[in-house]
Amino acid sequence: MSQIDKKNQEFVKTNSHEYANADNHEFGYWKSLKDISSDQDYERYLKQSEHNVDNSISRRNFLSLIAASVALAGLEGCKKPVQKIIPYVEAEIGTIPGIPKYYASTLPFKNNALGVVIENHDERPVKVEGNDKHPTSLGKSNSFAQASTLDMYDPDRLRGLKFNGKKAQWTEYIEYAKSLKRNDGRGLAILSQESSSPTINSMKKELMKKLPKASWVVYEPINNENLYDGIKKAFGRKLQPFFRLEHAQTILSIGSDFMGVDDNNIYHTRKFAQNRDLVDENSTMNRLYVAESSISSTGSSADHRLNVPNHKLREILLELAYELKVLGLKIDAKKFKSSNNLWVKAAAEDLMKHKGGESIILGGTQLSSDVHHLIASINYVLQAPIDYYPLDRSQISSTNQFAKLCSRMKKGEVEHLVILGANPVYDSPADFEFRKLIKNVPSTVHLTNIIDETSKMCQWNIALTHYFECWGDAMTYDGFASVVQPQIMPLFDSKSVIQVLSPIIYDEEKSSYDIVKSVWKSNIIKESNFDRKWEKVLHDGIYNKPLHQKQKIKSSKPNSKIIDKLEKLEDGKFEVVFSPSSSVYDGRFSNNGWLQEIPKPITSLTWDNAALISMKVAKKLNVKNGQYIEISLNGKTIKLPVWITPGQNNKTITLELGYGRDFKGRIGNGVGFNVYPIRFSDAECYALNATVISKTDTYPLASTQDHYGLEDDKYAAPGFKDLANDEVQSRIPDLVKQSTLDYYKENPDWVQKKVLEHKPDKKRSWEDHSMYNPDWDYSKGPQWGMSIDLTSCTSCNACSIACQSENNIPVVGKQQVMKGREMHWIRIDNYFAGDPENPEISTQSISCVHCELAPCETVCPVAATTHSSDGVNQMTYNRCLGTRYCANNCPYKVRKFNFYNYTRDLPEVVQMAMNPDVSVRFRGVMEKCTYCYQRVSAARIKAKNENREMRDGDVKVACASSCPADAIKFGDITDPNSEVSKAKRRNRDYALLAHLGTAPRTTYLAKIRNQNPKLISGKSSGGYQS
Amino acid sequence: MNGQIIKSKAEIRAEKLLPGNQDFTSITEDIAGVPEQKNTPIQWWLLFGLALSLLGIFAGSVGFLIWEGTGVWGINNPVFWGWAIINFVWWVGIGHAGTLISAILHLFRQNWRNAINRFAETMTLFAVICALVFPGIHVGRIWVAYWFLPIPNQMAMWPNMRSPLIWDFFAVFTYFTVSLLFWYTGLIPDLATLRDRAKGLKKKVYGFFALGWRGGNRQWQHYELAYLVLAGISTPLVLSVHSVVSSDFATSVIPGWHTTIFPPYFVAGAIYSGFGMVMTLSIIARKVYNLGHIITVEHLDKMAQIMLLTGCMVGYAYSMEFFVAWYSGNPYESFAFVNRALGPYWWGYWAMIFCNVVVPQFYWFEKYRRHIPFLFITSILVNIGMWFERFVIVVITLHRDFMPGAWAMYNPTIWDVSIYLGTFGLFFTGFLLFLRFLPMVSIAEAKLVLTESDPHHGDHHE
Repeated sequence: MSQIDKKNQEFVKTNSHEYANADNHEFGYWKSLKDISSDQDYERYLKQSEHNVDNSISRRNFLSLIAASVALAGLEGCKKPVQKIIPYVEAEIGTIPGIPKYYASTLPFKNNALGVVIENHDERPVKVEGNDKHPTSLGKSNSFAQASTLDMYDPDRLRGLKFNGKKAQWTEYIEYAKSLKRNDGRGLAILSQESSSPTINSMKKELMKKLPKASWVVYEPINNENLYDGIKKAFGRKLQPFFRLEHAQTILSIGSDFMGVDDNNIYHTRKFAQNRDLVDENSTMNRLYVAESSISSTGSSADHRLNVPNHKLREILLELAYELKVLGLKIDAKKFKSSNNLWVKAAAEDLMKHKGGESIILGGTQLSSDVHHLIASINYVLQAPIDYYPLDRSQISSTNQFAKLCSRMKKGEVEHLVILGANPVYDSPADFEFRKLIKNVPSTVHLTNIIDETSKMCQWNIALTHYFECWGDAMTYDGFASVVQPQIMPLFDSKSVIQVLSPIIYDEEKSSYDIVKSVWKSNIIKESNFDRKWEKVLHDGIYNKPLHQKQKIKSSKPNSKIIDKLEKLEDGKFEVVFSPSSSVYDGRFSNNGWLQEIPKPITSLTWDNAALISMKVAKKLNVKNGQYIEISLNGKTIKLPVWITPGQNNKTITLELGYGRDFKGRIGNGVGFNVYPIRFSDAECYALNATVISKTDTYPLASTQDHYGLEDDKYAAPGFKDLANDEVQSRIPDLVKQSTLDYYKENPDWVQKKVLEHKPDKKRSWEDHSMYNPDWDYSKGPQWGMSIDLTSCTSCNACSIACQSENNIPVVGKQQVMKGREMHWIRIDNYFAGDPENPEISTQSISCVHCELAPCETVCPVAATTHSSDGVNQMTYNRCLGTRYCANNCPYKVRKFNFYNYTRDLPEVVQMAMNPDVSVRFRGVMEKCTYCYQRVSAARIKAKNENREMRDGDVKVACASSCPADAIKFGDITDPNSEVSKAKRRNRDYALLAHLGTAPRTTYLAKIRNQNPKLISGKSSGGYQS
Repeated sequence: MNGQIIKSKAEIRAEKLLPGNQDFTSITEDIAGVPEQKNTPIQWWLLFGLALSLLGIFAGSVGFLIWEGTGVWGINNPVFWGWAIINFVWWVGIGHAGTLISAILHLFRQNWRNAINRFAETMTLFAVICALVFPGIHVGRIWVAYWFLPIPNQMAMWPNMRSPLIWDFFAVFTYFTVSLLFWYTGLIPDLATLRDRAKGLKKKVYGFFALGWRGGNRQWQHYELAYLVLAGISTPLVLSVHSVVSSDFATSVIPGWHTTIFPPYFVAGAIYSGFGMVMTLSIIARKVYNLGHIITVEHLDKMAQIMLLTGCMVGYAYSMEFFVAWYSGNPYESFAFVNRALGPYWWGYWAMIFCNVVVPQFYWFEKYRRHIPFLFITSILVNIGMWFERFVIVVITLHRDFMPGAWAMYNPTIWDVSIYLGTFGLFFTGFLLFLRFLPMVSIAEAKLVLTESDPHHGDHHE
């Protein structure tokens, strides 16, 4: 075995499913065979035996030794591990074993609230769904919400309290907390994360009232400060904008990834997709313009994408302002002309056309407050569908305040620092040198879910509750208060922010339930019958009366002078962008295996971040994928590998935040590269004039899809480097059928013509005698089917993680991903057509398509994969012997094989995250999408008990119910009124690889781009229509 | 008469196939002398030691594979089959020559086969054993591999008879069973010869297996008939086994696999590789045991001719695949073949073309057909080429099929290599034990070539 292999193996050991010797005896729930046969136990066992019989081996001793070794030997054998099951001794009243319970709750994310419904099996929360009563989640969710289940059962979570690294008691902390109240709080600083919790807000007020000398600082590395400041400049005060995209027909994004990692993405995606739900060729469709430097989820959905570096975005805006003035908008703008004039002109025209509530501009968080000022002003005059809400109840990050805190820490003015959940040692701006400053503070408290960079430097470490475990609340942007209610007792003796603050404020420990309830009683539900209302809130998860009113705004006169100073990039230097990671965000999800392993949209990278560079830059720097570069900025240097990305700007290097952690998380520790060291407070989002040096050494990066054409196909025969790329390009129109709206209007039957072209001849002489003919009548309902709309899919990965959570799909580790063994049942294929500088992106989410004539079924020698009478291609795991023939014969390559026993070493805590309705697969068996058959069965049983037929909507499969774009429809295809039947009747419906005659049950709706005819010229026509 | 002896046709043939003044006694002595050797030749011990070491590697690797799972191999998604299936097809292919030589050439009364048929049959047996190892160990859950078998069971589960893997299983097992019977039947007269010449325990063991053979007239009559019937049964099997193996691929929907040319093409390829292996082994054996007068250049020449024929057949198949891919107008199919020749594994494809198409063209020339070192090297090249053919079919086809989003590269691991090498240990351990204890050339049949066995021997021709 080569050195690399060995290294990689070690890597797998630390990063994947190998959780051997997990330290979970301390707070274990039940004892399993694994526990009694751990090394220590074995040693103890031997010692006991020795004591008993004075070291001489008696017959009895000998036999017990044999028994112990047998116990050890059996553990490692190839048979299924045995596990003891403890039955309920006392069941909860009303519990029906096997029937899950659902409770509404809220996932607080920064200063937003995502309403969720949590599925509990036997009092164990295992699955998150969107709460359809909730105005920001609208019944949908995103990948962070879906993956939060795994965060809950992270075995690396901090347990209990630690003082100077030693176990401490909660009562000791309470004594300590009381002592913080001296001197009116002089020297006390509290550093928290963003939050919209009314309870925390009122506790803060109380704290500031009781301890006026104390300071409360909020800091988030990824924040909207510039946006709020811009709005303040425009309207006189900080307000929270709420983009009502449901009204927008023309959307212009200036560097905003509003459907990707930016805040409120579920709402944005849902409402954006709503306006491109094309029933037929006469439907209307919104149009999205995106100007950005690196393809985001939003950019991949754009009808027109402009590839510009971030520092040029203000030029685009200046020009836009001028164009709008030309078009009649009363706005103060000087003439400005950039090289992208045509594009800007077209966008401006469109914006003007839909002026008066149907056009909107969204600016990215990286833009300066001046630019946001201009955007807000333009939106104001466009009468863009934006509601503004007050911000004063939320804790909003302020870099200024944080800088002040740092300078006070430097001067030694801070005696007590209480850090609530944040991780400033890791993620605060490099120039603040928080790591050094924190040493000046004599007493520090860190409330954290895991021992991280900051905890290591703090005296008190207190385990932070997961939102499954605590009482709390949060508020949506538009002021709907939502309740966070516990699903389970804290697993690890952890405390919530409310609990930690309580002894400081109230001198005693109050129950967080009482605190939350009293805040709701006094501040939120101001109605007479509080208890009834409160019960309803607990049921719905949300209070139906908003706390906020839409704010009336009056804009100061837009003034383009404020942004006249253009930024310049020096020759040969680069712009560096610090972007939130779609997987780990700012680092907070680092220890989540599901998120680490999910292929990132566009790059398909897993497990690591990389410096995203364009093809041209790669040629210029003479680097290949995975080769290291050094990026220097203001005297600081980081070294990380590159990843060549389509649509990346030639002046921009994109760096994802949140990697390169140094903490006690087995999954995320050391994964990727920390880019915070070159991130300074004056350039938190992007920095100019970085110098780049290429290195010769390389780093293995794990991607799940090869993108030909970006890099030479290095293995192809000499002279045929373009072979693969040419072929992929020629296949895209067949696999992802796509066209422009105009073409579609003229040729509504274009997709169906294509389908017919490839359809096998209907009747052949041999067909009656074919042994592959279906011998089952599929006309009787219910017959399950699915439809996926490629027009609205944004490749956000929510479906894939929802599927992983619902179906117990294992995390396999980086090394296995590099071998091509990732297990996701839903994969998202990305194809790039045309100019790699600004390609047309086609994404397609693929899982088993449930062919009626399935090639996999005929070839299985043991009939482990068969068809159900309701048309589902089923996998019988315990019949499968693993010949893998089915997977070879699957044209869609959606079958996944358990090459190893990926779940063997799952710590018991992680096992709690498993869905008990779905078997955990053993090594050597094939698996794939089942159309969430466990949910189909549950719905069927329910319908039977209620003595009725199944109705449309009874079965919600995990992917469809999570999809924020609502692109996935599932249901009975024999019911003409079902959602899926309606979708399949649309003339955009087509089956993938239909010419094979597999008759798949999952079909796609062709991708339609609403392109501006003025911008379609030659190369970027997107014309796959012909 | 001027003293010139006019030789009969049979005599001329006998002289070619068994040169030198050989008679019944000398043949028996020469052939039976090998297993009767008191001192095993040092070369045998060396080879046997090597074979045993490889067998040890095999056992260790298979143990590790069973312990850890198929993940130890390089297979992935989409290349779910790797070296295991390549090796399976390769070994089954090698196993073809035995029955072809024994059965079909027997039916055609090609007496030149008599010097090599035992060899070839034995090779077949061990090659098929090696092949059968792979379907057993390549599955994910080895401990339930018996579900392949149609055994009535409490689960009321039955194999899926539509699956080519089940056909495969039956085809190869039938072939193995018939080959074993055929081999054993042919061995009976020779076992009796050894029994008659041996003493003590050896006599008893050989005697047990000789089934009371006395060499009587009626025994010979029954024997000949039985042998003929077995030859008749075996003949269609030669064609069926690899045709069925090819249907593993041909019945699938994957471009590059889904083709009707596979059955004949696989059979030709199998015979080609089988003869290559017989050639390699017989050249070694005649050298080690000084049997150059029994396995003659004439035999090697004949085998080279068959290899030329089958080599050209596979060459034709390769070109026809390309033609059909182009002629069909199916872009997926066309790409599958272009990708073989020009894609990332182009070296595998061109290695195959060189070994299987270019190399046998030398066999058009008698000079090369009778040049033993050349034959030795080329026969090995042929088997390398045939291995690459299966690599091309299995790996190159799978690594890029319909969905570019699922395309991937395949890299074998050390365990792929060690198990493959290990099967050589299995093969040669068996084969060397055969050489040591059983007559490597059929004594009875070798004698048939002698003029003395001609029923008309001694008749006057003048």
